[in-house]
Amino acid sequence: MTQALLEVDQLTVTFEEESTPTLDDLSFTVQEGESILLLGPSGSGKSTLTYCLNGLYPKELDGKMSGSIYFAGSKIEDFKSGKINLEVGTVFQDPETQFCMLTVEDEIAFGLENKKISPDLMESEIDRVLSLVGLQHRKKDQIHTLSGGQKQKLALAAVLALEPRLLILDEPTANLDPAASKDLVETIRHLKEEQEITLLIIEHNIDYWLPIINRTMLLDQDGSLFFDGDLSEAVNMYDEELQQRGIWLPEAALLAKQAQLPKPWPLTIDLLPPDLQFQTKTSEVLQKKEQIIQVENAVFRNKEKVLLDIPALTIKHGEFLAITGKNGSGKTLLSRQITGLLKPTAGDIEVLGKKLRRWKTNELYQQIGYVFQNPEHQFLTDSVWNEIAFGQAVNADEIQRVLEDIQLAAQADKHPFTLSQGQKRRLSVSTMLVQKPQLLVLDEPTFGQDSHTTEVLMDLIWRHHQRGCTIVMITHDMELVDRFASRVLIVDQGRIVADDQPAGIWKRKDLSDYGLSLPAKEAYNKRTQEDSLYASY
Amino acid sequence: MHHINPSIKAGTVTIAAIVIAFLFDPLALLLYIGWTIAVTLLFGKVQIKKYLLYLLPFTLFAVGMLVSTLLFAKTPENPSITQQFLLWELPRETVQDALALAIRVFSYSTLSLLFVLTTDKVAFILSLIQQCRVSPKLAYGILAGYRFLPLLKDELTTIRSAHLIRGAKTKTSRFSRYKQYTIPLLASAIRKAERTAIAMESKGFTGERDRTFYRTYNTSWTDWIFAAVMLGAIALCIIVSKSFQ
Repeated sequence: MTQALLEVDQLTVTFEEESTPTLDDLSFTVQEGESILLLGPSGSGKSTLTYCLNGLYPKELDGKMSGSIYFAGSKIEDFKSGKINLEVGTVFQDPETQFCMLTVEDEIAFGLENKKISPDLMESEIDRVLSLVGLQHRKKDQIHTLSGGQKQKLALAAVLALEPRLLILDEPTANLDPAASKDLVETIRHLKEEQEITLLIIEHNIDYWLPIINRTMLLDQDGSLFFDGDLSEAVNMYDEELQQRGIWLPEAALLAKQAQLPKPWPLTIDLLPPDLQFQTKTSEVLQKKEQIIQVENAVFRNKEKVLLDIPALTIKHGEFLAITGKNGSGKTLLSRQITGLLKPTAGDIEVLGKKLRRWKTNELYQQIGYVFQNPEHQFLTDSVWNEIAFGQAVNADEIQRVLEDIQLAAQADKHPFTLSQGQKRRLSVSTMLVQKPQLLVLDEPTFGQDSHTTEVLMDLIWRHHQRGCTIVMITHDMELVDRFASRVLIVDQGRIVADDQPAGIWKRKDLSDYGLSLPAKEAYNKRTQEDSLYASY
Repeated sequence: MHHINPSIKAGTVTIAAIVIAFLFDPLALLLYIGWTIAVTLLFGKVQIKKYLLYLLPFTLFAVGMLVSTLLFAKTPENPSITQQFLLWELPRETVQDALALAIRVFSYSTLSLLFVLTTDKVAFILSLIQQCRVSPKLAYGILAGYRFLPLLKDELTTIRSAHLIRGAKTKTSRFSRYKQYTIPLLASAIRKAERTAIAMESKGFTGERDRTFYRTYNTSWTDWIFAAVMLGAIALCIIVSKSFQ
């Protein structure tokens, strides 16, 4: 038998301030050439495992680490400082914080310098890895001019330059739109064909990675290994357990479950049987006629160019409006304009029949709420309870009820900053909803959240929508658009390029140009239609 | 100018500044200012318009220094020897002191501009590692931090909006408002710094000096000639100025 590339033996990590271990008695081996998907609920220690494997822990760890990790037969601790990082490369999730240089070529050179490669060989090596990820044409460019997807490809290229034998991808698509995510996965699939590399992929979005992975590991909430084997087996044997733990199932399996198909469920849409029937959206709120937002000829520009150009836009009471489009297309900018957070360079915006500049700030923000991408930005007080109570004339019972609603009653006395990612998100949405606004704008509320938090959030938002609150939600998640939105705007390069009901949007042929993809149900319908078309020939 | 080794350029400018600090002759200083500007514009490929724009705040500052030293000068030892200055009749000693001070401030500005406008920041930091043996840990840390500055500015704007929409009082004192912004800003800055540090280490960065360089900065004879000419010019200015008196 050949030697395993990686062997983890009874690995346990306990952080100093925690009473229970974050990783508990983990043992597994990885053979050269495998592509492993690592799934786990948030807080199950996936990132901790990454740090153990690339040698950052125990060096940087505040806590205890026991057990051993062997890489290609030698203990990780026995590698010289910095050497293990050349064998185990990592791409992280946040495209903004992975770089320390200013230009593309310098960033790749940084790793090569660490590897002490002769300067004469660097140029050709930089060209090689840039062409692997398709960024040759950006070699001399400043990193901040790249799009999110390109930044992730650069991060990948910089790691590939070190020629690692094991590549860890730590939620690399978490900050990308659907098209950029697919593109990144395609790049990695291509890479895998070009060279022998072992992959360990940590992800929320299983669907993208289906064509690559050949083994799946599941971590449980307590940091122990819960499953190790084939993904299809995991989905079919443990679907209930996975969903309870907030792990997303592949869309095809979800559809199969919805249609109450007998197991085994397929993992890709292509393998679903034909003629499935799905429930269509039933509850449509009666739309009142009055408009809540009216935009006329609004233009927003900076010194160089026009960033947003909206000739006309009306949002009516009771709508559930989804704004979607590529990263950096102007979605957030549009949402800031209609809420008066950024003033347009020219043009008029009316909210509730009154021009924005005639509103008093505090009165306006009694009527409309805005949930920012980063929940931490919105916290003002030092406890969860006070956050909900802030500025509201509500009694203790009411607050208690709200906290139970978002499952944060047990954390009432904690500082908001100490909550988990999902808890922070639920709290920030809730702080906006207690004042019962007429309009709520949400900027990517479900981004990077597990399925559990997404369910709680959407349930909360939907209930307020039923009560009459108009919702404007920026999102990349086409499943949510399909399930909830009554109207969809696609924004591209600062302009609204489509304004339609979801059903109309899904008929468009140019979705991928705007960074979008079809929701699973529509993808299935399209496939079955094409199939029947073939059959009729 | 852009190809002069950044470390040597920085060293030359620093030494020149120190020498100037002991130079009280207004004429010599003026000559040296002319020299510095000429070198910057001729060899630095700097646009005159851009240069004047950068120089403007320094000029105002120098004029401010001049006026305030004239108004609040110490009592001169020989008040009888006076000199016509602009519209006033002032003690000659006071005028000389004030002029020397203002001109010195001005010459510091031209020297700094000479350096700033003709030096690439990354090149300077890399050259500090290679020529001045500055620790790579510190130098690459500064480079990484430099990337954060625009991010922090955006973030502050966002936090301000986010607080506004929560109905946080905007009329509270400036101090308590800054406190309100500091905590989220600091929290995210620390997190970003941590992530960047981890990303750097994951690329095999150890902070050791033993590494190769994609961009190598060497010192050549042109760099030393530049230093000699810049410093020699001071001596020349003094001699020329003396010959006029």
